[in-house]
Amino acid sequence: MDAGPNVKILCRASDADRVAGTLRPLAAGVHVLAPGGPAFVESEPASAG
Amino acid sequence: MPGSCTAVAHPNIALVKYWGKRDLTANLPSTSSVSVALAGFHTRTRVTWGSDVDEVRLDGRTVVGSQAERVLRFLDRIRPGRPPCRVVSASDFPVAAGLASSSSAFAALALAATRAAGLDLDPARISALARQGSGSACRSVHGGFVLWRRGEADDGSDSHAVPLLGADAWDVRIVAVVVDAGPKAVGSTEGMERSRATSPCYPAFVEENERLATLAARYVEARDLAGLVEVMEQSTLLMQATMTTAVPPIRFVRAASLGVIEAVSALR
Repeated sequence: MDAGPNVKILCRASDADRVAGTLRPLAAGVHVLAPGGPAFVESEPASAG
Repeated sequence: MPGSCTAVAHPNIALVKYWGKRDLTANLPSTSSVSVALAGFHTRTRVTWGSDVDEVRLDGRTVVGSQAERVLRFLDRIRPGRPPCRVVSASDFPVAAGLASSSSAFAALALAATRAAGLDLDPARISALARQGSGSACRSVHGGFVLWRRGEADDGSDSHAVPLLGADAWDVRIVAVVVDAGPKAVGSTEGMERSRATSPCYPAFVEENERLATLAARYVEARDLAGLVEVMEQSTLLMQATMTTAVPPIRFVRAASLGVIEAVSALR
């Protein structure tokens, strides 16, 4: 848990669907998320002229 | 020449908790923390360095007052006496996801603004800069699993995130369970400061959480899920103890939260 009422579970990828399926009836919403990459530049700086 | 730049960052969640500051102004944490970035959700921010007037647009609407001031003060840190700037930022994850957007927002802003200003800073310096906008944002500069070092320097130069393990290096998932998507009765900054100032458990949290962060970093690097989960739970319970023993108490846990925890325990 963070500083709030919601709960985050870290699990093996192979177990994620089973975990999410078990918890879905108990929750307002369930999101299954993979680790994300770093921040990145989407468009290189363009001169303001 | 300075111009415009768009950057993208993911939110992150703490596995070993950040709770409380040793310096409120510089956003320096009382303890180190460990987190993981979350794929699938993004904040995309475009900064134009040099426009007619300062303007901040968040999620499709122009904001003013304290929300805008927080962003503009952050730009002042990059270059005092800067030109007017335009900031357009949007996050694609719902409030109902129960994730804080400030981590991805200030990570994307730090990267976009420095590039737009003509600076090419290394990730450690961008992380330290992002920390000044929102503490947890320093962890979203890097991907995958990261350690945010508490640091010792008064100026915060050594308080930034360092990468532990890349996003693709460990086949795990984060299941985010929303039991209450409403606004919190107590914001994080207020909650942290109340816990630090009034909870008799807070000194114990600071001492033990630092040890847990070091342990968690080792478990992440070893890809030891059982070890990591154990220290995650300890850190969370210690943080909750500082909240529930604060004056007045901070109670975030709901009956539904406990029901989810019990269900997870039964799955093990």
